[in-house]
Amino acid sequence: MMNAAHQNTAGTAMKLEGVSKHYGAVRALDNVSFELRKGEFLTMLGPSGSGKTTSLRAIAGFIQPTSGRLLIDGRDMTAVPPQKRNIGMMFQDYALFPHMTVLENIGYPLETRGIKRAEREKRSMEMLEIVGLAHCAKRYPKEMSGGQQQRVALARALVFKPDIVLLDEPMAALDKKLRGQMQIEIMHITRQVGATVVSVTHDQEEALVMSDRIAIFKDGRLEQIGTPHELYLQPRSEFVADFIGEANLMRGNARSTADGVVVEGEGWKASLPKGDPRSEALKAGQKACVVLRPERIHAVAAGSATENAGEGVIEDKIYLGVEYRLVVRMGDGGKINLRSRDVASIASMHAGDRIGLAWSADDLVVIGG
Amino acid sequence: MTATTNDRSVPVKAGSSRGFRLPPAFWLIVPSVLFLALFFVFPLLKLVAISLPDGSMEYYHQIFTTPVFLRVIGETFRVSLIVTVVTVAIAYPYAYAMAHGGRAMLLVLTIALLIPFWVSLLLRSFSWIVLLQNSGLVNDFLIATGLIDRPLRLIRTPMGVIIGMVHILLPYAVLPLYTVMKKIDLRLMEASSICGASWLRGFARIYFPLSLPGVMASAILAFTLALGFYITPALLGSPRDMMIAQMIAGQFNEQLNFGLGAALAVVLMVLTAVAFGLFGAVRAALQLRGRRKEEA
Amino acid sequence: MDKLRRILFWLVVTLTALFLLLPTLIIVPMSFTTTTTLEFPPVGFTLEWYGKVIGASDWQGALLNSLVIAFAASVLATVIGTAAALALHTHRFPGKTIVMGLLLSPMVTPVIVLAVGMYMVFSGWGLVATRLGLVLAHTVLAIPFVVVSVLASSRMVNPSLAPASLGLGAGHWFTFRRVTLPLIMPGVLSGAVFAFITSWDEVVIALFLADAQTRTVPIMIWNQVRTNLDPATAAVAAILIVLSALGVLLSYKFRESR
Repeated sequence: MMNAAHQNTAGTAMKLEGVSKHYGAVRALDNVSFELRKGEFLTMLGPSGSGKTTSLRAIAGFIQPTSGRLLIDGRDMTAVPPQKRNIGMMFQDYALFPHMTVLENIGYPLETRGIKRAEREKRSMEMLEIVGLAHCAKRYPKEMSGGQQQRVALARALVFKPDIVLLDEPMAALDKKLRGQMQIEIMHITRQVGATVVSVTHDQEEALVMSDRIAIFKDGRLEQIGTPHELYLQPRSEFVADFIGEANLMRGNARSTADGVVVEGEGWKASLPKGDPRSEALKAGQKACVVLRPERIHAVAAGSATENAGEGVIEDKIYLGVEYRLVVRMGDGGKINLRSRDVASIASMHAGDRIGLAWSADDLVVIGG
Repeated sequence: MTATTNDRSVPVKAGSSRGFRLPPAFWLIVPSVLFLALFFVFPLLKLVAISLPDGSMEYYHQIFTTPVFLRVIGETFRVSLIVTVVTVAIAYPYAYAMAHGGRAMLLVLTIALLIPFWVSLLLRSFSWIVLLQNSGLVNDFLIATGLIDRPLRLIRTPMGVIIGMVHILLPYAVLPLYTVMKKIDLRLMEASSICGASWLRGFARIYFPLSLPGVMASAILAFTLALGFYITPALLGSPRDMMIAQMIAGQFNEQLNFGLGAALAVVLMVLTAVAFGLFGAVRAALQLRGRRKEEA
Repeated sequence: MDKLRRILFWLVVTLTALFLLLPTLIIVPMSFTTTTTLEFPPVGFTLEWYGKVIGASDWQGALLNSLVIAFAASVLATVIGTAAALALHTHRFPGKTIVMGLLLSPMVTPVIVLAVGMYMVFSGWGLVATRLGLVLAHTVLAIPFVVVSVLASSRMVNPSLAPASLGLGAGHWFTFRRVTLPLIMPGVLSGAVFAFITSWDEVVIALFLADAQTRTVPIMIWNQVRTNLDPATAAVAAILIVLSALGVLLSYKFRESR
């Protein structure tokens, strides 16, 4: 969403080319390739064990890929040790040096780069001001709250203007209340200094809030990469559809008709017009999965079937204030969620009633196979 | 205190317990205090008394003016210091491996550490005599590898004493180091390297300062214990490089100069107490620092 | 560079482990040598040295002394030390820190100082060259180990159990016997083993307090080592090592049964 603001700094900051990491027979990373653009905020999202953290550690240089290449600013960095990569990193529990003051912590990356004390302190103070902790310079990490420690860690990762900043589960050590606030704050700070960021999380909401683009990992593979919007509207796999936002996954069989392609299940069908690009992946007689977002399904009277409709029995009706949520059981026992703001018409429906479902062909996402 | 304990037992019903009441706290502690007062404190006080015949400091004067005694005290310090440095230097990587080498490594290294810990000092010194003698395994090995062509004199030299003492003190030195090191998060070293520091700089600026409390504790402990060593220097050293404990034994066994021997013993006791007091002070200071940080 | 450092590090650690183990490991094999001098590696295999040691009357006497003294010292230290530890654990009283310091200080006092001090005092009391004198001296050394061990195990006991038992109407002695003692038993037993081994291995004090009749096994070894090194000494050492190992296993077993 913020992509537009950064297109002027376009260019490739980093490139992963077929990176794999095997531990014995286990493939922690399996042939992962993607590009990171300068100035963008990319989040690697996935469940635990999906390879996102392994990717981050490979980018940092803490682990050596079994195969593949890592390019930063066009240079091959695969075999370069972490200290020579010019990457900043904020660790999950911050990894602040307990025996150093906040100022010394932030100054440490400058110290290792041979910058003199006076200059070091000046730049560290500037950074502390950006993260809003100028008054804490002389404190020790243990004397600060979790949120403050996180800002110090962020300042330490940013102070030397690294080519890339890595955030490892940035919100994991914070309590829920603080998370929302820090998500916005980190996003603002990194944008303010124009940093290129790669973050890792298992929290889809966090990914949606903070990222320009999201890379979704599963079982050591990169499932899909794109803007949050793209991933929501055009998931390329059931996993992605399910992981980003709420989704109804309806499995049926594809069939060609005179007007295009129809995917049919028990009590529903979804039709794509002739020549629609989405139908290219489908072959007649093949199984297919239709993805429909709950807010894109409309409740209609039973029996008013069209080319894009279904019918089922209301199992639950839940009133959520601005909208209703209906759980509808289909003929094959599968359930479909729908959300509707048409409070007036839903109010008259009851659990156990038969109900018709309708949707527009435009809102369909079809996944073959 | 006594009252509280008795109050609780007022509603006693079980008849069997009446009259068999366990003595309150004061009486439980009495046997140990009496016993140690009689057989531990009294002998030490007796030494002090013997060392000051009619309140005269002559023996202490003699100790601190006669070159022989000064040399022995100096030698004791010298050997203890060398042994401490060598022991801590060897213990450091060992404790590091125990702290960060994984579970299997910890088990193996702990066993290797505790087996000698449980074998008596005398037997270990005996074993070193066999190992270090001219036809011993160490010389055989050194000759076989071509490092030397004639056996080194290891036994009855300060070298032999140092080897034996390091071996005995090593477990004592490793444990405090390990305790401190296992609390150090290795991700700090990763953080250091991503900040641009080489391993060496990270070690010097991050890991070593954080392990310093362990180094101090282990050094003071090793030094304190080393000061009083008797068996190892007596078996592995030469009379020429005598340590203070041997000197004390000699005064009682051979010279039969009990007053002087007692004065030497008091000197050793004071030196040990000072060194150990240092240990306590360092620990207290570190605990205080830790607490201050916790509170903040 | 990185690899080299790692290789060097593990080399140092491995050598240190070998250094730690080597002296202990060579003793046992040496006791089987058929030569009359101590050889490593041993030549041939014989149990002759064990027979010689076990058959010799002076070794038998020393063994008896060691067992009697270590057993008595262990019992005495366990009773005194356990009582003290219980008092320290359950009650606060003025001067507690000082008492604690007193109870533990035999552990850090140089043994030679203790030895000559006891020698001076005990000779006045007629305790030199008696088993009783050695028992008392070794008890002093062993008390700290019992205190530490019992304190450690009583810290794991739920502190409200004893008051609960008292509150239910049980008397103090009953409570101690049926509630407290069973709970701290592992600590008491492992303290007793510690105490036994402390006396069993002790040599410096024994050098000053024992005579030809009351000398213990360590004194025999000491004399052997100072005069002639023969494989019989290794045989004794091997026996002692095996006994120590059994003791250690025993004490760990007690601690595990917590």
